Amino acid sequence: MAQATDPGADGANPAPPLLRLRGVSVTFKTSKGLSPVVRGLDLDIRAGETVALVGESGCGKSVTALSILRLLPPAHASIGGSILFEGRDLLSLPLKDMQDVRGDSISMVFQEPMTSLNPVMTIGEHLVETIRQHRRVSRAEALRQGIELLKAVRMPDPERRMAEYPHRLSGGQRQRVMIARAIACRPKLLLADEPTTALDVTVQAQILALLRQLQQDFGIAILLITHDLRVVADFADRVVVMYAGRKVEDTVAGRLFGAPQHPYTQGLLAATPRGMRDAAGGRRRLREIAGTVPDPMAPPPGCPFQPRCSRAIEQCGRELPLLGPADGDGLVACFRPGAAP
Amino acid sequence: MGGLIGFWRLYRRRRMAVAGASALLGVFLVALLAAVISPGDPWDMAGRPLLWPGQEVGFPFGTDVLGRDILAGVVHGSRVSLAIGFAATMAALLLGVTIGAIAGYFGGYVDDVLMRFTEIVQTIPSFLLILVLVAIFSPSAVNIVIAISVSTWPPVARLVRAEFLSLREREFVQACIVLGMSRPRIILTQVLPNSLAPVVVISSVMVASAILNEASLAFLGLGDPNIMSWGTMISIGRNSLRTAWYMVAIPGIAIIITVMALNLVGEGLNDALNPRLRGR
Amino acid sequence: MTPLLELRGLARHFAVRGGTLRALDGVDLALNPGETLGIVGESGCGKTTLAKTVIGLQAPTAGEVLLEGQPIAALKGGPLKAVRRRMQMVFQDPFGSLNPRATVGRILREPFIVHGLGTRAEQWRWAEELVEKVGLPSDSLRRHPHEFSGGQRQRIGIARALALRPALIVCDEPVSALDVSVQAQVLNLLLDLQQAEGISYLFISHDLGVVEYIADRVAVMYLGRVVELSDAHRIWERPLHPYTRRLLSAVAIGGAGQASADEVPSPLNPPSGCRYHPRCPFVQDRCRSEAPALRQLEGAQVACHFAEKIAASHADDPAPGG
Repeated sequence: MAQATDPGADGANPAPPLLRLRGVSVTFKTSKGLSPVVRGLDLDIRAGETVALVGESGCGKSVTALSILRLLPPAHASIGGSILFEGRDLLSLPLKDMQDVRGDSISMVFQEPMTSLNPVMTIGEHLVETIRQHRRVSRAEALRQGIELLKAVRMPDPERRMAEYPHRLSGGQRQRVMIARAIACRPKLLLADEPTTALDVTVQAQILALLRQLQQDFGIAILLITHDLRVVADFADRVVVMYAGRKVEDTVAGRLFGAPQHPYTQGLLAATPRGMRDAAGGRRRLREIAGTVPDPMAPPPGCPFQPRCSRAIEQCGRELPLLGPADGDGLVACFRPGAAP
Repeated sequence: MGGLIGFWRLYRRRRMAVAGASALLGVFLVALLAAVISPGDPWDMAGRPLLWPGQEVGFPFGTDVLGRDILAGVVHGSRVSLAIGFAATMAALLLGVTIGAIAGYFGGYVDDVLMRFTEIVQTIPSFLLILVLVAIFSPSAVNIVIAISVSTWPPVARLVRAEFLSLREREFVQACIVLGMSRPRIILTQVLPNSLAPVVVISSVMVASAILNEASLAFLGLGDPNIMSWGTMISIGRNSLRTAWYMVAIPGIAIIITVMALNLVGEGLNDALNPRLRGR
Repeated sequence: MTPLLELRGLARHFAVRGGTLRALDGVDLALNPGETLGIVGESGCGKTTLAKTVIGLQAPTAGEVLLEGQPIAALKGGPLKAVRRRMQMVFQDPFGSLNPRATVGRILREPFIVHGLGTRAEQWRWAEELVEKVGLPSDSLRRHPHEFSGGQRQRIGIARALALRPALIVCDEPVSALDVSVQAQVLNLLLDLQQAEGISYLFISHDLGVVEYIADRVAVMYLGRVVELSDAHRIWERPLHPYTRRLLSAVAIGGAGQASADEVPSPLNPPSGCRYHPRCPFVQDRCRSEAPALRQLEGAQVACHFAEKIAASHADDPAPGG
């Protein structure tokens, strides 16, 4: 199943993590009051590792990525806790230093390749601008590097593409340009926020394969944010499942699919229609998760998943289950973890 | 009604918009209570001519060359100016919304013809067009309203057309087509109500500019000579601008207050209506 | 048996700058009563144009749509309105498909008002029944669409489509905007309604997993044409067309992708011969010049000159994702 190397899987990696989130909380100020979107998140990413952050809309996964780069407007969102990157707390860094981190040591690829590029700038100008923002090189040198980057992201006909405008490119090609831009300064960490969601399935597979290739070539750590468990399966080393702003499960990717521990993870996997036919061609009924995601401003008491959980007991409605070691080598936040009944 | 409460909550967040609305409410009250505040005909010679404001008790704003009470003129003039402003705007909205809706919903050939016509009207400077129309026909209040509306509808038409063009592609409109709903019914019950927010915003500014247009006409001697509007008062005072500037200044201030109030209300409406459009 | 819906040589072309965009280019399909036909393909394959042409939001450039044996293109007025009652649509966007200014009650009464059915009180009662049928709280009728979540709005859209008791519902990507857990709820609701009311679905989706689950038969489209038509469970186990294989391997868990760029060409200038030939690993000279027609093979239909050979070459190869 997972042919990719699993550096985090043996659990014997002594090096401190590249990125360490401790107790990160993000609260939005809305017209109706404070809305806690991320609640006390701990997350480690080691150098060269691929971690997938999985969950449904509103679970706080994109907000987590944005807060790592401090891209949330301070007037509307407050971030608590600490985000250590190579030992420095990004949250207390002066803005000038933060700007040096962005796009250089940490870069980001967004979901929407249509709006992420400036329509009046050529592809070449996008790349040259990014390179010269962080490196003191001549324009000619930056152009040369730009072509190299387009080659690295397997863009067909890279020399000609440099002079073209974004609207001439397909969605997949634009996403390749975004990735080229993101790796321009050889970042140590790439945040990929739903990089394939807006693309066709065959193009999705190409972009994921490209990301994996780049990671192997340049040793970039990747935080992949996605709602799509299928994408995660053979791409990530480790998977972190979020629900209602909290981490509910954190485990090795292969294990997540083989033996998910949290009822929400199990529910997500069972609700994804894949091969729902039995041998005779009959339809096996898709299991649904009842109800909807809770309102962040009025979370249920106890475990946030408890109102939708088929395994909930009285304790779940009273106490918040803390993240603890799961059966095996993952972490799970559940009073009754384990295989589905 | 929940919508109205939510709307007011957003509107009152802008202090200047609330100030504008209060000022406008004041002008409305004056217009409504004109007969109470200043009984009698504003055309009557009420006192000595050319009394400065405050010179004589009973004429706080003074009198004009013929001894007419300027307070009475301002109070009764508010009725005329507001009436012409609103009537001209209503007529322009009717024209503009109809033309814009038809052009935007049907598109294609119909759209081309209507929009070229709109552009032709728009290329003529609007005040010049008003002037010409009023000069050709007699300068009565009704003709002034018609002239103003005929020359100010094009921006409304373009706005409504743009809204319709985007709304007709929306899935809820397509759902109505699939249900078998007739075109006029779709336009009136589905698309139009969703396209009116920007029209409401622009209309407050249109009332202001209609009031200014009427005043400008009167100043040039093309106002309705039989009614006392703020514009009429300015044209009366024009000849003695050097000796008795208050005769122009007082109705001028009334115009400025009203126009500014309308503009502030417009901005407030824009802010209050737009986030709702974006959010949903 | 007369098919409920029949498409004969259906085409829809758009005049655009630089030529003619052949969004739909000669599609023949039939849908039986009570059946679900899934249409799957990537962007630009013409699946949404197909939905809009079938439902009558767009007029076909060529070919015809027959509902219960009756061509609907020529219909106007009363007869057209009668056809509208038999055929409804569920849209993709749960935010854009409901009038933001109307209450849910109004939205659900609208179909009855348009067709002059029932008194006001009866319309309200029917609307209440619809809301209950799609699993929404009974106080929904007084509320506005923005007070509901995406999944609930999609239920409202389904209730509206059910109102006139149609024989056919065209579903255009009805779950693609929804979260996985909610998606499962809506798919199961559609299946339950089909069982209770005997409705047929023409179900358009880019998601093979979703289509395989809900559809009885699946048509795979590529650049305006159907390249494969087969039973849903069969297409998953034994895809015949190289493009279908490609689609399946792209979504399979553990499936291998390639990093190089290879994308769907523009429907503005589709390739000659077989439209898939520039991307096909099995391409031969014949593919470049001669467009393959849909033909019977192993109980399915496929548009590929060399389908037998390709299928044989993969005979010992486990089906991707199976």
